[in-house]
Amino acid sequence: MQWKTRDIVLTAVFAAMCGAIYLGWDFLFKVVPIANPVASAGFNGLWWIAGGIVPFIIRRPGAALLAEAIGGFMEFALGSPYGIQAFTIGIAQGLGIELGFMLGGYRRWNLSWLLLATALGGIGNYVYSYFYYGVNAYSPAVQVGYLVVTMISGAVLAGLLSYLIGRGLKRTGVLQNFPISRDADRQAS
Amino acid sequence: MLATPETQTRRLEMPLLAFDQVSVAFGDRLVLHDINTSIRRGQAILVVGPSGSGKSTWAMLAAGLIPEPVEAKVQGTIWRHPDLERPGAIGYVFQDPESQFCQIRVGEEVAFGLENRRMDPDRMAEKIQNALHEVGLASAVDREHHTLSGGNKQKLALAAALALDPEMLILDEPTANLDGAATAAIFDQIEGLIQKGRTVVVIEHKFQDLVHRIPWVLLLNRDGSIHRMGPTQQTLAEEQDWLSREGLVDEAPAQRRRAAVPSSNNSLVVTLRGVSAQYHRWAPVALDGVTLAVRPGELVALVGPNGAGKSTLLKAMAGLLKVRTGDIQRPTAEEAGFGFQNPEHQFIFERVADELANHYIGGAIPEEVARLLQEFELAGHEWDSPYSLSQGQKRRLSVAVMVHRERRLYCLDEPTFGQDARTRRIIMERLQNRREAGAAVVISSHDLDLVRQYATRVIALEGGRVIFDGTPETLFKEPSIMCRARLVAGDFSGEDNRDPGHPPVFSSWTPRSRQSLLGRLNPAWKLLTVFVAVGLSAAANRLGTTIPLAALPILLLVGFSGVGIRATLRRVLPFAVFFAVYVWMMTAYAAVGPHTPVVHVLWYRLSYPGFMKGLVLGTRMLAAVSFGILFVSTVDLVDLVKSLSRQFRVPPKFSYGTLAGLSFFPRFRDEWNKLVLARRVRGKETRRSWTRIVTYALPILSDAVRLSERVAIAMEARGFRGPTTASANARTYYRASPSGWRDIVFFVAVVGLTVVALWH
Repeated sequence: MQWKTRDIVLTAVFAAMCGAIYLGWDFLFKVVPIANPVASAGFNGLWWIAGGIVPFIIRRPGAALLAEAIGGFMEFALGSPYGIQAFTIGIAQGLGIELGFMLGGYRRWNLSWLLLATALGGIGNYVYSYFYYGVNAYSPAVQVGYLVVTMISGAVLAGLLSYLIGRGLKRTGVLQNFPISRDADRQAS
Repeated sequence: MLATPETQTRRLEMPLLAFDQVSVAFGDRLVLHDINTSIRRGQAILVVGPSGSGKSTWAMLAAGLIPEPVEAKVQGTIWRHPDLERPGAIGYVFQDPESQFCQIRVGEEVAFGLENRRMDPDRMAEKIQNALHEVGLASAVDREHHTLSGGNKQKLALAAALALDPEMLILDEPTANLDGAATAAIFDQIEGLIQKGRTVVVIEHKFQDLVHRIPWVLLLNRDGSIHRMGPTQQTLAEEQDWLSREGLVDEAPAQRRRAAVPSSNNSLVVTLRGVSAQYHRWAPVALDGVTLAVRPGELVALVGPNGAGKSTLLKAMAGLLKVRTGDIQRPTAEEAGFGFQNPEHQFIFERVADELANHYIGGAIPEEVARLLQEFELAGHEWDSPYSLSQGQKRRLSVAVMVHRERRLYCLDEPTFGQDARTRRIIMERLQNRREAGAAVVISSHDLDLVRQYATRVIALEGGRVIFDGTPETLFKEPSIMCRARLVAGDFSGEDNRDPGHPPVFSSWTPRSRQSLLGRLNPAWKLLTVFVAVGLSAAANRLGTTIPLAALPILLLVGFSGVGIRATLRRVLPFAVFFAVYVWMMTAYAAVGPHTPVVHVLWYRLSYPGFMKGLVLGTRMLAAVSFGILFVSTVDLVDLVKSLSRQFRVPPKFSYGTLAGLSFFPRFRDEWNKLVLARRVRGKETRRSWTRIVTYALPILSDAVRLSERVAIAMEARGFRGPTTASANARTYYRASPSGWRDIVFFVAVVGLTVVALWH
């Protein structure tokens, strides 16, 4: 379970790329909330895809948190309209995902656990938005809708997408020195 | 004087390293076996063998990078001299100049190894200057190294190794990705090191130029065993048969080029008249008034230094680029093919056979594909992933995909870049066939022999202009053009080291903000301060607290950051637009009491309390954003990373590993742009590729994975292993930002003022 240098470099490289995607997502979906906050929550999940793809490949405790912190920091440094909150909400989402993998004892990394963990990332997003983005001011019905849609969005955009990317990448053979390739023999994913 | 085996033998005393019956396997694949050699102090060895013979594996084994961090099964005994155990005792220069650095600026890069060895930071500056001076990069110490040319990057890698006073230096195909002039410069460096009596191991497939400079040679067989080791000139003279059998020297004497096939209607394939191009408004001109025509049956080689406009001209010919002025007549997109430098960019399927057939193959392999597999020596790999192939195989596959359809024009960007003699011949012969069949072929190349052997015409570019257009024979009679095109070595020291004027990517601050009160604060403490202040701002729930909170960072920016009022406003104001969105959200959606008056617009229920809540939220976000701007405007990434370790004890593995990853950000931005273009070239086959989003992203992601691995190995090769990675105290820090009372004052003041604003 010891982190190797290559795990950390890979985390940073992937998370930085995700940070650039987050930034694009910031601008794309900044206008959607005007229509409806619950509908906009459907797009939330992509903002923690780094926390899905990186742990799925390197499978280390803390991978989701580190990936989300770096991704959020990059989003912030590149000029996100959310400013430094892009970094702090990244940490919150990372903690949510981390909780999911921790429940699996950091031994379960298959599709269902990945979906669960990335859905829990949605709770991190909800809690942060509750305190900092005015979600607490919505009516309870809107709040519940926001939470549920955010979690589903996380499972799909951060979880399922990470799974597809991770599997596609594994097929190319470049991941043979990373845990995703080693564990696959023992455990059908 | 040149070293000879005899003079060297006399100096050889102690062995540094000895292998006894060693074998190495990656998984089930045996890469090296029956290895019995020793390396003595002061010995210089040239390692020669066909691709796949395990040359790099042997070198990494010698360097102690196998079995960890490069995982492999090793059997047999390896004896190492105790001197080799200290970090950095074996210097390693890798093949790819792009993936062996982990810092951002030139000086820091050299310092990285010194930090791993716990050198006193006060002594580092001198050491760094000496090492950079030795390779001729002394003036570049503060430059971001991603702006260096490939040759200078290799020199930097050499300087980083030399600064550590290595007992032994290993250079693993250091010139594979370099042009003729840069190669010559690196070879001169190597010769200098040998003459100083250093222990040097060089793996090189362009070894002919080194035969007289390196006294010993080690020949490796295709199956991973040692063929022979002995004095270079004698051994190579006796092994001519073996060399040509293994494809290490080109056995076929240069075929005479046949003259261009006279075309029946004498038509032109491409015509350019006064073409100029520029990538964006601020970029230097990439093409400057180029006028030329290409006829059927020509094989045109574009030569010239990096950045001369070779790739741009190819793209313009293939219709991949909108030119600014001028007129181009060219074949339709269907009739023109384009081959990118990185073959992976062109792969759109997940199996080799599908790639060749250009669609998913359900059943048996079509005859056409089977023929291509044979022709390009890819048989046996038909169901493999294109990404899992070797460099040479990937290149052959991408060329096969491109040339198997008949077209009028083939444009290829460096088709033989970094390839061994065999792949080079296969590719060039196929292109020659196309040419003889009446197509026009245009390639860019740094390879002089290739120009001589295959080109019917050479166009030399410099600064976007054509400086030569004629036959290879004429070019070879013009040494000054050859030199300007960097086909041969010459005096480039002035030109090569000049700063190309790239603005720094990683540091947004000016010397003024660096000298400012905020700029001199410790970055880690500053991050903590901003973090706490923004965290506390969640408690702000009325305008009376959020407005002072937003004012605090803005006033700090104006007063103490050296940014100035105007620049501060320019950075902060764009965010105001986004806060308007939040004001609207709250006005329309905030939960309100039953008796609050609301205005119905469409299906929205707008309320005044909601509007006020929106304003509070908007100003609160303005506070957070301004604190963020305050931070990025006064912090350098490298300083931040180092002080996270130094002040907050983050294990260096995490801080430096993250920095290494982030330092590649500009590369992936470029890669993405190239990928988008490459996908356009494959045209209609990729039109539905958004449905296969994962396949679309694979080239970039697989590149990212391999890069991460190579960088991590390069870091460990420079002594980044063991305690120095785990404990922040076990290393020293070059140019580390100090922390002191100022940081405490800043923390207390900002957090105190935030608290006062919240609870006044």
